[in-house]
Amino acid sequence: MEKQVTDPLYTIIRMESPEIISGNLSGNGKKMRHAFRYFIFLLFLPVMLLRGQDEGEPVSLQFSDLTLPEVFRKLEAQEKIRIYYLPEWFDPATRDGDYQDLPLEELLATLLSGSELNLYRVNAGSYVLTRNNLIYDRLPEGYFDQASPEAVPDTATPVVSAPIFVPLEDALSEAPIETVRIGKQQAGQAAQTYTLTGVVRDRATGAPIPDVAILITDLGKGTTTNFDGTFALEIPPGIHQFQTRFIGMKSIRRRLVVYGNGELNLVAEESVQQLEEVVVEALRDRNVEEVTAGTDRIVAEESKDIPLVLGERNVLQVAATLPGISTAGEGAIGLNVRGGRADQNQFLLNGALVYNPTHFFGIFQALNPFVVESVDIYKGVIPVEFGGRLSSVFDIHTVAGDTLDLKGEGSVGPVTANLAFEIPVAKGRSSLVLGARAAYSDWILRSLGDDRLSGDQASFYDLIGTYTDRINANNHLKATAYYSNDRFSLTRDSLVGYSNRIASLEWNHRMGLRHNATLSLANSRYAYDLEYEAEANTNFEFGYALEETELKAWDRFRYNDGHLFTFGLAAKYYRVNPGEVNPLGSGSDVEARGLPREQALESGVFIADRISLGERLEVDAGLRWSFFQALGPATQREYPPDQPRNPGTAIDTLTFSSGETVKAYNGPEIRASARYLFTPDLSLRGGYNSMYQYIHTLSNTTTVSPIDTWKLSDYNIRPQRSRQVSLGIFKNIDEASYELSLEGYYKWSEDVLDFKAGARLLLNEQVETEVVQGDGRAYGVEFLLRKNSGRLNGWLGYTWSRSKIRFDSPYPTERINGGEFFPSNYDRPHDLSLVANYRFTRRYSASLNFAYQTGRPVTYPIGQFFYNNAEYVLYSDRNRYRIPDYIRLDLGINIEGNHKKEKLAHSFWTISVYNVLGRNNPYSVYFVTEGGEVKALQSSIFSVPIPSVTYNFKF
Amino acid sequence: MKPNKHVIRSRNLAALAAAGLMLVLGCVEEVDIRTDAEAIAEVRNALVVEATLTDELRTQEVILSRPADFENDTIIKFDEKDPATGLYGIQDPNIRPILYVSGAAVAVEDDNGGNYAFTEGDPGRYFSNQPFAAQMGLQYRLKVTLPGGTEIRSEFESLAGNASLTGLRAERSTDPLLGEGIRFSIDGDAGTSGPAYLRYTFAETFKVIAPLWTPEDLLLTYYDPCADPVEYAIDIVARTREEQVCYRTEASESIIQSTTEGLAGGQIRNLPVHFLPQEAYKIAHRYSILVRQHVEDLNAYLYFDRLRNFSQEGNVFAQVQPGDLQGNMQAENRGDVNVIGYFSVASVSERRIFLNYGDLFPGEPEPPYIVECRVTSSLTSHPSRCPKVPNPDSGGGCPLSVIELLDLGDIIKYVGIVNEFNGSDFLASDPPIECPGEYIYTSRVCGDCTVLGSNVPPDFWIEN
Repeated sequence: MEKQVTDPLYTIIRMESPEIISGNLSGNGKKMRHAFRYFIFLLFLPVMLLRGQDEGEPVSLQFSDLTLPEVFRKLEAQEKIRIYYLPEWFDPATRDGDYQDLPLEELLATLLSGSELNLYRVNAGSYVLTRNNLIYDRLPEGYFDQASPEAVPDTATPVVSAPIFVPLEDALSEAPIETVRIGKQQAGQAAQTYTLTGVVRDRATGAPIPDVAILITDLGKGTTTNFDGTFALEIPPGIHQFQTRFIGMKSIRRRLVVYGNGELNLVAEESVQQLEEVVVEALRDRNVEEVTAGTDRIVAEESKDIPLVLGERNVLQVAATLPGISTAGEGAIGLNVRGGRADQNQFLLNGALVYNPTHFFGIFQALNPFVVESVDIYKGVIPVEFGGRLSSVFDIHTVAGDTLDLKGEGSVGPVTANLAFEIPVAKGRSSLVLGARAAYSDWILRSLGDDRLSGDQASFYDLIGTYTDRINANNHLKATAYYSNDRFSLTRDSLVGYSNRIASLEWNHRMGLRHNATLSLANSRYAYDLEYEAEANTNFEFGYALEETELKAWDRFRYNDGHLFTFGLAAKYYRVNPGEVNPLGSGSDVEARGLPREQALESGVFIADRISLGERLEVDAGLRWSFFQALGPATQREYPPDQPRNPGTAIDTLTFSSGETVKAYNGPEIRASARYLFTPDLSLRGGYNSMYQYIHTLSNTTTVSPIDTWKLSDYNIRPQRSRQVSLGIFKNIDEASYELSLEGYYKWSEDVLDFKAGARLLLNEQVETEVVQGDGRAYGVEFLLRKNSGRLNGWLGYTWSRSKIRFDSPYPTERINGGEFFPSNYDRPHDLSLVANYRFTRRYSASLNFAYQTGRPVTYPIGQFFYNNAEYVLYSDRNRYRIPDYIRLDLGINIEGNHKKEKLAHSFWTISVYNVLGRNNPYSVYFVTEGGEVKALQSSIFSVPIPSVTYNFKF
Repeated sequence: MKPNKHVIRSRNLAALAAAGLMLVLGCVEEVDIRTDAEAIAEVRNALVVEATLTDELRTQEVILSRPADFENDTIIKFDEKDPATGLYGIQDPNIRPILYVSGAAVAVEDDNGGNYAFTEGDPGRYFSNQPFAAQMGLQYRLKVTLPGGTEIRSEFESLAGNASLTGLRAERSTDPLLGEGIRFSIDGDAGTSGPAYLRYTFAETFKVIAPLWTPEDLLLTYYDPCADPVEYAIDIVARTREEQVCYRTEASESIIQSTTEGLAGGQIRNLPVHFLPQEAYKIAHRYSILVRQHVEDLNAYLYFDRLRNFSQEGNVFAQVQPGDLQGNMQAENRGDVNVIGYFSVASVSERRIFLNYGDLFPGEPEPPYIVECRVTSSLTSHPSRCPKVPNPDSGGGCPLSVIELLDLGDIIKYVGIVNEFNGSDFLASDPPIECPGEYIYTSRVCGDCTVLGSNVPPDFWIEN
């Protein structure tokens, strides 16, 4: 009987333990996890029961300010009887009463009036209270002979409505489906439909869960839970198949036996079974039913067993195993989504933008793994409420926090220690989540084995705090503060540091049943600094900082079943300190100077309508009008259109006063998708998406560097634009235990940025003379097979894609590769990922991660020459060659702590080996002139198998 | 390129108590560079022009060469040791595989009607017929006509200002990578007339003393390898030229730049331009360095900056994106040839200092010679062989005989006679001499300093 609770969501309608049923009411049953099926208990019950013969003596009872169980206890003591029931059937309301000389059964019936409970007398001293159904003394006519046309009414209990019995065989054959009784069967009742209402709550936090799909599958009816987790459905009496669907959790099923109006409250519970289960099937059914093209979701808890470098959890690296998302290599910051530059991704942490969500060159995520709940990834059609980056949105959500109990989670790994707490503030209402994480010391850098990285230090940490307050059913507040910091020195005379800081406040307000409005204010700051200290009088410190503040207000409006509108507006204010230099130390002659600060306003108004056109076809049509104003004070140069841009060709210098518009750009962004459902588990989905981007990284390295400068569009630097079409077919097999998808896309980009070779980007007042803007073409086909359940689960992703760019101009200095299309730095045609997890027992599981990628393009030297006595190299066309293919296999074993129920903390160990094959995967090939001679060097970050052990605990 | 040695650097890490054993290895290794026919064609179509016109009254020089592709044979040899000197090609600028371009017509013209013709001296090196100095206020342009008729023109360039090199110092110092040694640093003054863009070159001249030099040498006066037994005559003669003390000059090989842009007062102070580890053979005796400061314009500065950047190590994580180097010279018809290099007109100021090893490292052992010098011996003669093809194996497993080595010429230098040379110690040396003969000798570089330099002190040389 213990095996039945396998679903993360199960009803609170269950018996906690036999001890409770036997009438010992002192315990509240919370510690007891033996979940008995109520209906099975009832099925056995009649065998034990004998109908009592005597009516008994009249009794009197007086009480005041007592709950019903207390009344029962008083009655039990007074009359020497036993009453069997479950305490949680009763609300905590107290009542007064004065009953004189009533027969005991009548007294009890009076006490129970208005509840769902029925009374059954077992014998003279024992009474059983049952929920919903009356206990029949004998089987109805026709129970064994279904052909019998009439049910003969019971003489003792007049029953007009047909008794609803649950056939035993049926119950056993579908044992995993729990049966739930709804409403109280009333003698003489015969309504056509009853109302089923309920609330879905998170058991851990007590918070209601909105947007859960509620389906009555045999009737084809359904609804979704409201903002406050409530739902209401009209259903006829009888047996119905009830099902919920909720993103990130298994669909759960119940058999409803509907007797009357009633409540079905569901709780999402984190059961012990769920903890050890590696559920990689987060997107069940969403895969097929989703309307927005090109979406993915990663649930942090699910990805915890995937072996990653140094045992550090990293949802961004997990994202890179999904089709269409790749990195330039180990140690490459940033993700390339569908052939886009790394600066075209938007990482939002509870709504606020994190400019660099990684530590230490992208090897580690800058997010506390215990605080991250999930990441929604939009790489195709991006919902209208988002804007500003061409390729993708990574919408990162943190956990809501427990509102009832203090919880903690931590881990000790080879590189970092992590700790997170969930602290209830107001019981059942609000919670504070705090997370901290730090690398132990500087040894990571030293361990990379590159003597040139003879720096003294590399360290990082990040801190996060979120406060969630469910003020009432209609108002919900979330506040987030986050800070991450990295410091490292890569050469002996320089020290580099960067930091992200965000603060956000989100207020969610429900107006009536159809409006759900959100108002958010988010502030992000990204800064880096560089200290240079050598012998000469040129020591300096350089600083860069960017700050943005966004105010966003939007509403989801369910107009009717056919239309769900999303509309709103967003305005973002940028303030950038593009760089300033200051002398470092007293011996420095460096003059303090800096580029003038920049400011700009980016805004958008948006509206989208999700239109249901029948059961099968759903269309999401959205439009966002994007605006950008570069604001003064500013000095900008005017270049003649018929000459190359260089410092000497400027024909005019324009000066703008504070607040004056330097240059304004605006344009429509179309976000449209459509989904056609052939069958419930097969769909076709397509979309068209267009975007503008007004902020760009300035980089003259082949991969992204942590100290890349972000530059706003201005008088001369135009915004980047992109258009994408995508079409895919999605199929779920075997109750969504397998998901299959095939999706193709084609993306055009315009005015993407690149730089003249050897560009000077720091402190360059005329940086536009170093910038070239060109076109991009990216296209590909993405295949994904996921297995969501069973001992073996995981996914296999394969992407074939190309990403090419072109920089053409009449002037040789502004042309790259003769103005032809060439592969971008992140063009990796074949990309295969296999992520698998196999569960041996409840405590042991093994996981595997395999990756194959075509080597990335590289510019090779093709010849050498002597100049001023030293040897130099002559380079090929940009990216004409490729570094060798990338192949890596990681293995991991996860061991859960024992499952003793009274244990203080739950723990698990992760033992993993990264790069089991020990393959020396080149990250880069570069060329140095050493002692006058050219050498080609190939570097890899992790060239041998790297074992690691991480200890995780939870309390 | 021949197969490369793998340079794998790794480091074990301490185990962390909480996390158990950890082992992290990164890796940097040298790899082969492979290119294709298209790339080779591209390389062969490029021309390298080295031309810096200075404001010193002197014979100005222009050097024309072509880049070498990686399939070029001369480069393969370039990585190997020269048996004559015991030196790698890279250590000797004289044998560098530079593909000089001969037979071009070179001239510089100014915007005042002046024209300065150049004549090819050594192959690929063109010298102005008359000494001349670049004048402030004039614009100069380089014109090159290749033997095939392709015309190349530079843009007009002019002197970008004056700046003086005010100090040059040698100090004992420690470099994090090279250890103890000498650091050379300079001070410069660009005045206050706007930022100066400065490029530094230097030339080192130092005394080389052949450690196994003796006053005598072996002379093969008669040799007939076809006779059986072989007929020969060896004389021990006094050396006829100075071969013990020489002076070697080496030019700087890296691009050193600085700017006074953003510096208050327009002064550069204590800028390191060179570092020599204490073990460098160059400083074993007397050493001199001449540092030249070139004041160039911003475009020249940026060109050299890019050139340096493209061949500089980035770090493991961020590599500089290399690309086309656009200089200020172009063929008339641009597709004809890709011109590499920058024609700059520079104001030059220079400083020289001398130092002795003992000045900075008093009482400390002198650094070793450029190669490890050993004395050895082999059989004087060999079995009859006709025609004479030296074969290291023909002597019954013995190395080449003395007469064969002498016949090849310029390979060995005489040290002594085995019987007179404290024989027992010598023959028991490690590794043992396989086939000792009559004469003791050493590789030429150890007994003759002219391998490394000139036996005539340069004009500027000042002894102590």
